[in-house]
Amino acid sequence: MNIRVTAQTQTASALANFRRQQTNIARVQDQISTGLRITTASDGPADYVAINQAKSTSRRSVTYAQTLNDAATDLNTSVSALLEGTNALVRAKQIAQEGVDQTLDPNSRQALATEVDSLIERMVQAGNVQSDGKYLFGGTAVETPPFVVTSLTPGGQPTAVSYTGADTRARGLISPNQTVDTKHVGSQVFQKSGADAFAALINLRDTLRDSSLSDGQRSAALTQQVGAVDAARDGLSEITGEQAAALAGIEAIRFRVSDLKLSADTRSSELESTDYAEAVVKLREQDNAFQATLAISARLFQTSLIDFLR
Amino acid sequence: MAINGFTIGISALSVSTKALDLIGQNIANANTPGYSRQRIDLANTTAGQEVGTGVTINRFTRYEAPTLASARRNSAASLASVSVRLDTRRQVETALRPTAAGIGDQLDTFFTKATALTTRPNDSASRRELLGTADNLARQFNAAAGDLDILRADVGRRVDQSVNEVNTFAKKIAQLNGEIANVESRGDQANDLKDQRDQLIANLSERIDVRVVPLKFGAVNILAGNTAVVVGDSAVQFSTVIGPTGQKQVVTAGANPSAVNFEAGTVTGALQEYNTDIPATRARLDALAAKFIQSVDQVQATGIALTGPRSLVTATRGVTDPAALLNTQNLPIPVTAGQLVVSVTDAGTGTRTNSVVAIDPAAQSLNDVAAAITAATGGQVQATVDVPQNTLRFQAQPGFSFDFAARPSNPPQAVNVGGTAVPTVGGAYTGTGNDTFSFQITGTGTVGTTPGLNLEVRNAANTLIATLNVGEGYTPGTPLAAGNGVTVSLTAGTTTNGTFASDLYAPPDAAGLLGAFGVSGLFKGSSATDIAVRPDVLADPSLVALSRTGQPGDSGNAKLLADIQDRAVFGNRTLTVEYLDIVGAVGADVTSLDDQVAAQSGVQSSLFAQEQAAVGVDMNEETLQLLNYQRMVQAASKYISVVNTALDSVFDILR
Repeated sequence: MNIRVTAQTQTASALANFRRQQTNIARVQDQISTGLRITTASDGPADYVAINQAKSTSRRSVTYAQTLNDAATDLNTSVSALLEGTNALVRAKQIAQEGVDQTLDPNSRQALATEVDSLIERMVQAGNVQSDGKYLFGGTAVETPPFVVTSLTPGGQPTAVSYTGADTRARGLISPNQTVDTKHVGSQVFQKSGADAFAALINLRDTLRDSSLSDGQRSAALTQQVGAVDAARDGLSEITGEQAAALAGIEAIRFRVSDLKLSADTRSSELESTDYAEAVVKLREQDNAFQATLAISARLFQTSLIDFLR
Repeated sequence: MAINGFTIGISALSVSTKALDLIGQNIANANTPGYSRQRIDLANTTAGQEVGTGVTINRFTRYEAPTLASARRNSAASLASVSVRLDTRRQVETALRPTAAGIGDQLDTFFTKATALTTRPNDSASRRELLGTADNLARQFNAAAGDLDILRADVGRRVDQSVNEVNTFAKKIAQLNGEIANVESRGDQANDLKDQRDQLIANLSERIDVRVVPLKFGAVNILAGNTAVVVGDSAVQFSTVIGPTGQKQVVTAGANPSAVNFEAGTVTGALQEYNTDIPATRARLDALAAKFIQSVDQVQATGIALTGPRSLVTATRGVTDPAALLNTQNLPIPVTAGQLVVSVTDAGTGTRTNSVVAIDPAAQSLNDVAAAITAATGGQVQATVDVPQNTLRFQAQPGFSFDFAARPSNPPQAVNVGGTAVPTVGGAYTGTGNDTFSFQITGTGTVGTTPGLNLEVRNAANTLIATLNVGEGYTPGTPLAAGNGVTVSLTAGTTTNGTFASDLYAPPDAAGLLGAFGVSGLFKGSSATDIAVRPDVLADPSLVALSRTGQPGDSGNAKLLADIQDRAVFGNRTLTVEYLDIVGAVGADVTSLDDQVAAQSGVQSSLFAQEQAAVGVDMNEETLQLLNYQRMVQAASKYISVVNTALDSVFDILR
């Protein structure tokens, strides 16, 4: 402590104290009113970087949740369409088995053939199913129908269905370095090697309609076609299984992404948010100190020797 | 009897009224910055007899604390230099926009939009969102760079202004030195002039690191850094110059300027910010923008837009001299030696051929590169250099279009199927280096019919990587996975031990030529100042290349775009982490400087209090002195009165 304390020393010291305390109060007030302990890097450089990395993780999780939703929507629609196709093939197998019955009259066979026509139509619809305006079985060619009827009978019924989609599956990014196949290559679903669903149905119909065949020939042919329909159904079931598994996987990832987001949000909040109890106590403390400084400063300048001179 | 009473009394009266004047001066200047209290030194006078002749003023002493003053000046210079740096670093921190929707946020958002596009690559609204974010990010970069430039210019002006103030102070100090020497050489004290001068020296010490050397008759020399500032009654004048590298330097004014290096004070602090710190932050921001542009443009250029291959492409980044070797051009985004694959599609036949162009920046100029591309594509793509920007232009011949995705050529090479079946190699090659797949059909027969008809796929090392059934059970035309993203299919028809091959390239632009020159890119510009989304792409989102195969639903390139966010491009730091590191480094500077300012302010306050304790005016002390001399006036007056009365008594004898 200096022996001589002058007015200038007192003024300078009081001013410095006022400024420091007001700065402290303003900082705590800011923390309380914004709810944030750290708003700029200089509030805590290391924490600032950690907060922003956590926020970035959270933001990415939101996007992955969105891509997961997109993928799940596509796969759900796709699985429904495959089930529809499988149902058509189940019915086709029943029709083939009914057609084997040699006692069946031509009109009944004709009726069965007509039903198969509608099954072909259902199968083409299943192959050309869309989600959000995009074809799901054209691979990456999402804008054009993947299955096109390339030739018709004189009666306007399809005799050949061709795949015009792309040769690669469309994929979505669902977490860093992890993709999910959302749009399969239709030819590898409906027209797999030895398991062409369209050909199986078209052959079945043509056999039922073919009046030139003897009953024995027809039965033999239909029995063979039951095998073809089964093979096609197995092909569809295989992809259905693959897609259902992908859906289950998506659910698991969705939980993981949601956990990741929660933990990132928690981390950024822990680092960034104001601890109100602490901040309010600090504010009180600073406020008291400020008031004390004001009071003592006012006293300092109140009296001097002059007051005692007469 | 000789009476000295009047002389003594008058001397006391005269001295005490002078003392009252001095006390008045002290009280009046109690709050004057730089004022040093003065005291009156008295001495008794004598005529050599037993009793003296009264009192006289020996001198007016000015209180001084030269050691403390010197410490305070040094402390003031240090405080001023860290304060100016703290002010500037705070503004740099704000300029970097570390806030919501700032550069960091937008960088992140850009990549999340790219990720979102992987599931909906042909969605126009999502594409617009990506472009909107890119545009906003570019503007944030521009604004940050602009603010840093403005800030630097302001700091530069602060240097000039401080140097001008140094000149003004130095002149006044020199002038006061002259006046002080003049007064003190006569034996008087120039106390008030010294106060004025010392206050000017204190002001000067906030600008530069002054050292004071006392001379005789109260004058001083002032030195700072490696120069003299005031020598007796003459002042050295300074000015600033901008060097060839844009660095500001303080020099002595006059015909033969010499460089001056001050070591502390606002001039030094501001110069450090102007010459080193702001440019360093600015350079990191530019490097971040350049790396972002390069990474995105490189992916963008090697993908395929919804509109398919292009027939005309103009680049956005050029060179200074198109005839000079590329490695002499100081390119903001460098070109390395490597291959560039140009795929040319014949619209008439649908065939696609890949041409490999060898790029070597140490051996080729931009003109050479253009000529090499034209030659490699057999003139189907004419690469030229546009003047005056010296940018590349790719123009396909009518009926042709081109891309840089390096998809497998169509039809494959060396096709010898020995029948009517037609092979197609497709997909997007995902390998990490160039390769050649050889395809061998084992057997003779009809595709899709003959049992046991297989297609063997071998890589360049002749390793069998796949054996695919193309005989019975194969639906002709169905693509089969050959490996590394490549597919192969055969149309219906016959074959006799057919063979064909496909050259596969990765990466399509190993030279980085497309990213360096902004060919088919998303951005123009190459730094934080001039980064902008290409207006043609901004106007037409379908030009964003998100596909690797050319199919609208293929998001291979969108994934590559999204992958950039995890790529360590600055040492082990990603783009986003680099940005956070830039801001974090500035934040750490601010925190550290804040601590230094607080510490230095404490030192300064303490030194001020100590100096004030020695030279400051204490009102109570002065009041006491006032009472003292008031009594002296009263006593002297009374004494004169008594002497007068005594003399009256003597004179009464005569009456």
